[in-house]
Amino acid sequence: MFSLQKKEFMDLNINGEKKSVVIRSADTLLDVLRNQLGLTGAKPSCKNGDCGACTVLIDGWPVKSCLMLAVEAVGHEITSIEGLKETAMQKTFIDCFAFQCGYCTSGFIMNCHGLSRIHPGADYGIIREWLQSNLCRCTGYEEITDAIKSVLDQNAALEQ
Amino acid sequence: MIPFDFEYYRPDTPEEAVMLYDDLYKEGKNPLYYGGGTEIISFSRLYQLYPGAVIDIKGIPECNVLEQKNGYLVIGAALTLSQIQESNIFPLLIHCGGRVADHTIRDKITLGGNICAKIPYREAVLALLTCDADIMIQGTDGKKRVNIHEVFNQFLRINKGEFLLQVIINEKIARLPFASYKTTADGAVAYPQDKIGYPVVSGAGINKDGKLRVAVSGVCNYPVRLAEVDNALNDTGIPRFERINNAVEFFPIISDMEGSADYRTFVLKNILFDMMERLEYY
Amino acid sequence: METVGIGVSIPRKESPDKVTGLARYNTDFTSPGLLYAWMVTSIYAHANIKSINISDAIKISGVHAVITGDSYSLLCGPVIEDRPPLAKGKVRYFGEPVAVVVADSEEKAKEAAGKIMVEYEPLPVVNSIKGAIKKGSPLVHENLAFYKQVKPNEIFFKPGTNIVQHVKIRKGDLKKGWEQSEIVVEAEFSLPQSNHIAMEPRNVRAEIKGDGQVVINTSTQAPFDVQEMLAQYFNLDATRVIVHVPLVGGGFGGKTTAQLEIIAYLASKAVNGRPVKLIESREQDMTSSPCHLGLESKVKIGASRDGKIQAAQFTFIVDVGAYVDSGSKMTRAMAADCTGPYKIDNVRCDSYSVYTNHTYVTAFRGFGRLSYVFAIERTMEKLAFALGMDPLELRLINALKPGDTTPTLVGLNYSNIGNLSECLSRLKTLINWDEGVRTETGNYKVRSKGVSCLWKTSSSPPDATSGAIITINRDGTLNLNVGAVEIGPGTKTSLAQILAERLKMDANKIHVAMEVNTGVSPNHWKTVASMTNYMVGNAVLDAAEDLIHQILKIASIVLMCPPEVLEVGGGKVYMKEEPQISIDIKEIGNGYENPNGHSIGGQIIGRGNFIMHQLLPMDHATGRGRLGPAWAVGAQAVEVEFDTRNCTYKILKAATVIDAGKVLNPKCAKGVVMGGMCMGLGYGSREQNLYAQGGKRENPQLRTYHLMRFGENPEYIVDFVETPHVIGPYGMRGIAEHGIIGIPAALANALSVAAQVELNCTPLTPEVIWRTKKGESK
Repeated sequence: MFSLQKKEFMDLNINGEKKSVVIRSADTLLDVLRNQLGLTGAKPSCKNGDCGACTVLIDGWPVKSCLMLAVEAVGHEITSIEGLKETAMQKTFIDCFAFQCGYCTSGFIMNCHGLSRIHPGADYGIIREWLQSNLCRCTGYEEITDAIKSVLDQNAALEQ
Repeated sequence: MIPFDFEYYRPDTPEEAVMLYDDLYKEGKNPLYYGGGTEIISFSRLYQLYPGAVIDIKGIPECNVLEQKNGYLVIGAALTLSQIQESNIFPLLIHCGGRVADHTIRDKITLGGNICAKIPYREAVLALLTCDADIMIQGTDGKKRVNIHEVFNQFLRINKGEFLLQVIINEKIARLPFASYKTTADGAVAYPQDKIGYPVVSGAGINKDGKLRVAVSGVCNYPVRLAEVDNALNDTGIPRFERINNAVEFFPIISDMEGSADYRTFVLKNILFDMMERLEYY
Repeated sequence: METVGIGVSIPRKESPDKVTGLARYNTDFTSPGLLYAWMVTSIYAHANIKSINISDAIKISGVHAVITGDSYSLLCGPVIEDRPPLAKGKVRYFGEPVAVVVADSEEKAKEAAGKIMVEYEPLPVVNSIKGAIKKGSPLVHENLAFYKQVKPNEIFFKPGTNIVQHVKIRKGDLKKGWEQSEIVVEAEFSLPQSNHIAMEPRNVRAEIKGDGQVVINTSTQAPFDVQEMLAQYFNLDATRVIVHVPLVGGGFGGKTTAQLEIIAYLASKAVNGRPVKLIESREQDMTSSPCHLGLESKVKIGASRDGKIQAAQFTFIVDVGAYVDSGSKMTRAMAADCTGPYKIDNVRCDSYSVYTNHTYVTAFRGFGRLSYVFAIERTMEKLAFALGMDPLELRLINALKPGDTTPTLVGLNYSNIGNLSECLSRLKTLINWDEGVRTETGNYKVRSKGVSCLWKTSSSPPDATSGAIITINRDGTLNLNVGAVEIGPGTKTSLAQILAERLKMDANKIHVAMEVNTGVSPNHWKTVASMTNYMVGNAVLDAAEDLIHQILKIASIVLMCPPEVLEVGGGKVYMKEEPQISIDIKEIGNGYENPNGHSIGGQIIGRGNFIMHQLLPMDHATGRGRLGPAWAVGAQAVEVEFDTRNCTYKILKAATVIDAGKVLNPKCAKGVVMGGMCMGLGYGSREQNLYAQGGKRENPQLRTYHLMRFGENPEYIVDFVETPHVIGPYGMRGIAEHGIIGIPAALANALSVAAQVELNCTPLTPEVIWRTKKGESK
């Protein structure tokens, strides 16, 4: 039986690398990413699962890292925004002006990136359902819509 | 950030889980079974829960099954609402569970977690109540399969140390035509997918053998299906509006910041009306 | 020659950092020896503090200090000093900071905070504006008359009441105006307090160095103000306080006042100056730190049959919460612009701030206009109905034009007011106004449209100033250093564009320092009031002149000609008549070396500044005065599909036409306007601070405080009219706040038409509409 009594060294598989970190059983993944691994791309905003600014991918699925214990992530593949390198989604977010202050952007990009991988042919209904998990207070969401649609269209074009 | 420590365990078998619970309980550690953990984490952050230990059931194979067997669907308690949604196995559950929290959180919330949560709405339960689901419970003396109506009254009434292993639904009932609606307090509801926010009323209904069965959340402080309500709605001798008026009388309807009792009543009546239309039940 | 200057949509300069997670916000930094603070906040809205028992908290290992209001005798506030940084003697709102724990970790600090026992004695609560002004109301501040006023004639309170500000407008002859009015309409409006919800919660790090230097790292829109306030409150030399501000994760006005910085400074002081980090939880950000004002208002408008407004009377009562902060200034700004952008010659306005036991307020996008515009634009709708006139036509008839005067008697011309009529005309086409405002589409559905107008100028101090410094690098690129904070709209990028335009060079070759450091950045009043591109942009142009002058001086020696025949452009200095005779700026930017080795010049540093001018404080008796340099006007519309059966609705379209003077970066400008519109739709449809009986905040989380989410936004239509503000950089006007201002009103107008009832409050939830239709008030 796997267990963590209080605080121990654990291996996390993060952005394709194995990192050994001290995890307290009650630590959220968000706190471990930021405070121990220096991966500050995932942002603390509500820490209550309501805003999506801390979204990362776990085995490719978007998860709010404030509502996941770090210990739960052991044995899974974690991808944070720092693990994305020159992806179409990042480039398109710039081209579409899909952010202003940028604080929600990592979370949005992770969710969009996850979506484009899991449902490359997603229709607007699915896009909407997925992206309603993230809040942006600066934009009116139009540019973010443009960005995700544009990347999915690129996917579709590549398919053909 | 949780300002206290607890122990974390991820047992491999149901038996191990219940024994562990028993031990931790005796040690005074106030253990909690842990599914997706979203509620435990958010409540602990605000000091609304103080578990001394959590027992994560996600490592137990029986909790992760998703299968069709002998005319029944068996759904493990540790499956996330998203996994259930992607499987397309039980449309009404997909609808009801698919409007809990938001999509990303549903990648974490488990079926068992939603059923056993403290939050009043627990919309996954609506599907189980209308479809007369069975649930499989693991206790120290083994497993038992019981009908949800025997153990769910406002919340799941199982003994200390027991936990929810699986949900089992008659496949035929699961495939029946259904109606499912949710209304939130917000004004702009542009698409049916816009469902973020606590429900003013969330309802599910099926038409089984010419009889309507309805369960609702948001109306009371818990998901509920009442025999009196079903009877009133099925009282086909009187006009539809009157049946609806009679039915809503049986709910102790709540008032809170999402909606007052009289507004909830208004919304509930509209939803019941829409359900009847949808299920062609006149 | 590549020229990328103004009018071009270049992506924000910090874009690559923002999409890779490498953009650093204040929350992201740590430092050696850092300690963490956690606040204990009040669970009562109004109560005496009988005792605070910290003995259990201080015993926890890792706890370094606990501070309470009793440790200090200090009152703060930008207008009137009425607010202790930590509650002293009594608490005046739910969420008010009461004590702070400093510990090794955030966990320890929070754990210890949970062990602090505060004994309260509850007091009667002022839980609404009506409650605040009723006779015999409990007083939120008993000692109002004894508080220090920061500047004379800024605040006019009524001792012995909760009324802390009264601003008057007395323009023309009201009696005559009513006599000339053949139709008079009147209505009352109610808008609640709301939250800013910048995605980055308010947070700060403070440290006091061995030599007494105070270092503050904070997420603020006002670094120079934080510096000045701390110096003033703690009797420090201002230059010994250094404030650092990296990228800010949204502000919307909520980060314009010094609050957490003061608490963090006290916390650091309590641990011998060690660095202390204080991050508010979302719940604290929504209850402890200041929010957006609430307003009760009454509007009466009279017009002649031809639709011309003859008289208007306004009463605004602003819920500023438990402390004034900038609430009194917003109360004043609302009065100054009370008529909306309409020509009204006979005006009376009484605008009040009242204390309540709610969270105190500070600037919020629009600085109060959002709220009073709702009142006037709803009343205009009522007037149009009473006159049997097209509401858009009524607005066109009364739109302010050059030659008219404002409520504070500022004379208007195209430069300072722009062209509202043109905005309205364009809006009319863009939203197909002529197809009708109400269409039943069957199945209980109604489509309807509503319009509104807006205007806004700034309310800066008359001596607000900005500076700019430009240096030349060896490769010929430039560094631009300004005191404006980057909070999202792309300010740093548009400032580079302004400079690029002047120097006729590629904006990509201009590096703008993203961080503001009060030790090295030139001053800028505050990054607020849609004034940054105007003020700092002018400073940048001034610095550019200085730079050009120096470049030409060196170049004229090198090219052996008078400077007058030379021109700067494309990274070169060239002869106007013979552009092929030129020298690259990089050859002279850091000194020019003659072939024989003899050198002249040195690094060229351009410096420039700007100061507000001709501003005039308002006269207390009549309101006469001038608060800002120019207005930006605009017209907005919302189209909805309303379900008459269940009172829900979809927001189909939202349109805005603003006179921007000159659009500097079209995509950034459109984005900022759409963002404002989305926020306006949120405020109009769902956002509100809910206070239960006893003043306890009911919805301090984002699951119960509802924001607009992805996909709930409508189709946006945004267009710009460009009537130059002749003293704005390239004619631009500030428009960063404006998208929000008229939207709640336009939404309410559309929904009122659809539901065929008068909807005079926000948020317009289906339940509110349902109740209004039933004839119940909110």
